Amino acid sequence: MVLGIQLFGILFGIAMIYFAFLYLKKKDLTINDFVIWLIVWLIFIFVVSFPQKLNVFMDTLGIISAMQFFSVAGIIFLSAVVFYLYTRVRKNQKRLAKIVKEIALRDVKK
Amino acid sequence: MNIAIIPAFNESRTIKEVIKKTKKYVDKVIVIDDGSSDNTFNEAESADIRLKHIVNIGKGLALKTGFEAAIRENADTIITIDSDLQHDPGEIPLFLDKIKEHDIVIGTRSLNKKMPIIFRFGNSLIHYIFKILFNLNIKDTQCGFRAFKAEIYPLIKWQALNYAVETEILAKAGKNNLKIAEVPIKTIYADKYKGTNIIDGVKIIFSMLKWKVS
Repeated sequence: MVLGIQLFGILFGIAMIYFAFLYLKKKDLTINDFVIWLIVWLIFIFVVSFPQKLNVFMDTLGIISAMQFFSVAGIIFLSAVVFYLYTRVRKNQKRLAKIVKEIALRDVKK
Repeated sequence: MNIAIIPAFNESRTIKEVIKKTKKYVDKVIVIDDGSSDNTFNEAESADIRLKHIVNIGKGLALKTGFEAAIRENADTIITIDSDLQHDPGEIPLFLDKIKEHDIVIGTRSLNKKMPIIFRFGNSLIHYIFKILFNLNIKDTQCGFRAFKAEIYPLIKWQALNYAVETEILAKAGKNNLKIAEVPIKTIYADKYKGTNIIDGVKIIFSMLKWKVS
């Protein structure tokens, strides 16, 4: 039997696949990016639908409940995403600064 | 050649006067408009050289653009001065006199009652942390009124795009054993202060830790 929280998780996963598809259509995501996000959200839907499949991992890691597993995995995943985004933002900030400086020096008014 | 660089962001009310007063003491004045949304760029037409950032990035980049423009103009000495009349251009000769014997000259605002209490506290905190980390006793690490020998630019070239630039320059100067002098300057605070705020202060402290380990 599917619980309310599981239904919410499944719908959330489907919605995220739909958003990823929209970004692909707008060419904001490449086909490679889309495939990666598709796999991420399909795994998410699978895990939400069949949490008992995680028992093998949970026993190995000494985690008691599926909810605890989700929380720990979620924090680790989000931390990795935040770090990745931070490095990307810093890189883009440097690129933007370089462009702004070069344009200013090119269009100097004397 | 002595060149003054004035980074400006939305300073249309004061930029003209700063340029006029600064021109008396230097050979050229360069204004860098850091993406102002007001009329700063047009008001700065009396400057010898004007540059405009197409978007606002921060003081760190404005200074970098200014330094590179000044070096292209064969500057020997570069003076940096704020565009909000916080600094008195009449004090430039003090800097030009000291720079003959030093690599960098830093203006030192006295921590008196004219400076808002929160800035006095912030400046003191940054001063002590800077002293511990870099073993340099600079009284006012945040003052933007400075003079530099142009030839040291490759040694102090900074990464900071924001107000942390002032501290990063000093950290790099310290690491490269450059000769630093301080000159006392007047403390002038307008009603609308737009400089370093509390969040900038916190960022500067974190940046100092980063520079120490890098």
